[in-house]
Amino acid sequence: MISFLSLKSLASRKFISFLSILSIALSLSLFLMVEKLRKGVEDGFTNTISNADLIVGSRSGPLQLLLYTVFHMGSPTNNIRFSSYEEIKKNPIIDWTIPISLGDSYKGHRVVATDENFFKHYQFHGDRNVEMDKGQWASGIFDVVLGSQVAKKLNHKMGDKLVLSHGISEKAVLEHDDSPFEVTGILKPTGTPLDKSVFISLYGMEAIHVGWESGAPNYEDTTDKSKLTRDDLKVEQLTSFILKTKNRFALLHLNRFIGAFEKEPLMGIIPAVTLTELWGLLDQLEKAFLAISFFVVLIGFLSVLISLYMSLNERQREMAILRSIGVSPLKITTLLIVEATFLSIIGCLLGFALQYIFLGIVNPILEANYSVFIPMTKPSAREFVVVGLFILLGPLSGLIPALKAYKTSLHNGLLVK
Amino acid sequence: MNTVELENIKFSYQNNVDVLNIESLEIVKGERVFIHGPSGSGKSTLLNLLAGVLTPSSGSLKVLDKKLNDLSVSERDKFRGDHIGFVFQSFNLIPYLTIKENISLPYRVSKIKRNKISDIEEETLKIAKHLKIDNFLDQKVSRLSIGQQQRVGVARALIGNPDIVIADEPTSSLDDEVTDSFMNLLLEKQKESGFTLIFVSHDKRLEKHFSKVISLSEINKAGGKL
Repeated sequence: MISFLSLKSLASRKFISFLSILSIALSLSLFLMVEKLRKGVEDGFTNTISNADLIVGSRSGPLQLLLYTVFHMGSPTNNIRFSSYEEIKKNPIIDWTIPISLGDSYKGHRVVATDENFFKHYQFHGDRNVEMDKGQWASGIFDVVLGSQVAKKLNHKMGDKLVLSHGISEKAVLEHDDSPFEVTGILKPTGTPLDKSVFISLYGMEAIHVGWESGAPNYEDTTDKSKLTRDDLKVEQLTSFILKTKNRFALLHLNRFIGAFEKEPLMGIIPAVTLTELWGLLDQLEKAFLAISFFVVLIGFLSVLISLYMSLNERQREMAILRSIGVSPLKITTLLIVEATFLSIIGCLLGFALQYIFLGIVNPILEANYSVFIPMTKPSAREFVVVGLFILLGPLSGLIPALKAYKTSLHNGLLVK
Repeated sequence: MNTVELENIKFSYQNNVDVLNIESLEIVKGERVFIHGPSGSGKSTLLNLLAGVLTPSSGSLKVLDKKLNDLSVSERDKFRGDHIGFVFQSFNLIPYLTIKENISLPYRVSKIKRNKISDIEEETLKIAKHLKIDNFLDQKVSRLSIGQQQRVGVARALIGNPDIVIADEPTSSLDDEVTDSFMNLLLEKQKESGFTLIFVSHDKRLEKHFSKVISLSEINKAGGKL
């Protein structure tokens, strides 16, 4: 009886019911999307680099080492000797290493000098490897590979000649215009800081600094750099390196060895640990995110409360009629709660579905412009709990109008005031 | 057998001023009772008492040999649903239901009424035919004239053969011609089914149709000051 009346009553107020459902659906889908986005950002962030055991650099703060090696932000305090790198690399428990040398930039984008191991071993977002969109990895001295966003933003194509700048500021004063690089490859989008960087070989890094030993160009030097070969160049320094061990149990031992390295002060950090630490610093932002979207959902349910409450006046007649045929005030109360529950169930289910439609639309845009990817995974158990809890807000929001209806129908009885 | 027995009934709302003070009132089964009185004489209060919506502050209120004073709110609701049909002054219908759904509503609420009806579709049609509203059964309430709406109200009150039908100024919004045909249909049904009819109106021209006429201002010693 009650659900028969509820459905009929809702159907008679189609437009208002539709608006209530829509406002619940939109607010819930927003909440779920913010939740997913937050998760996506966190996952993307803490997986900026994966499957690497240690990052080794000159002794400074762990966050700093992580920031410049992985995020290509900030500046290293000290370089490390190439000889130290080679010595540590000899350790048999090391599976592979990726050397990183920083210091130059191209139109505000960091230049990362490294070797083929980067292309072979660098992984992110779980087990994704660096992949070429076009061309191949920088093997020649004056080859440069562009991150996807760099290529897109600056509209570079294969074969373009670029002049790198000395230093890392966007308004670089000193240009390496005596040694232009040629674009030999463009990376696929990764959704990590790699998209905003450019990559050259370690030899390339040495070559552009031939004659710059003082830190500024030596105009007396007339070496024709385009004739340089690898044999003419000797890599002396690195900024840091990334390594993976064959056996994780040896990691602690290796890290102790690096920390106690005699020839220069070194430090090793476990990237996953430091990344999580860094994300923890952004925790407040995350909470603000969630709080805002939670309030949006509350507003959605407030609309149910308002629309039911507003309808009470015109429904006094209905309540008197129902009481005259023997419907108790309690049942009339239930009628309103059931109506609110119907609205919330339909609204929540719709919101749940809408979320995926919105994600389908938003995802390509997010990935292309902000390097954030929200995986379209199956809904998690947590999500079901969230939706379940929000469905419960329905009867709760029906409670206030229902209590008023109870009072009205109990006191007025068959009268209509 | 008395359908209604009131003894020393007093009723007051929260302010403790008596609205109703009736020494004795008896209504015999199958009787047609006309209750009249000016507005504010306590008519609505009396009807709410008879229907078991309100309970007297003191005195004994017996309807169909049940002492309503002793029943709880929900028991009184059930009692009303099972035994009483109620016709309002106007706007008798739930706007979001069709005419048919409005008429058959008591069937959904009361088990006793449900048990008296073997086929609700047939029963609805029969009553609707009597009251000459069978052409509108599947229509919306808003399509009907006020006179037609009042007849639907009567149909709903009559379905499931209640013991008592209470009508609260059901003709006050009708013009004279419609009032006549409305009264004829109602009284015809009463003759046929034999329910006790308690009819409240301030229109004294209608009292000729009734076997018993009660002036509320005469029996209500409280003077009916609201």
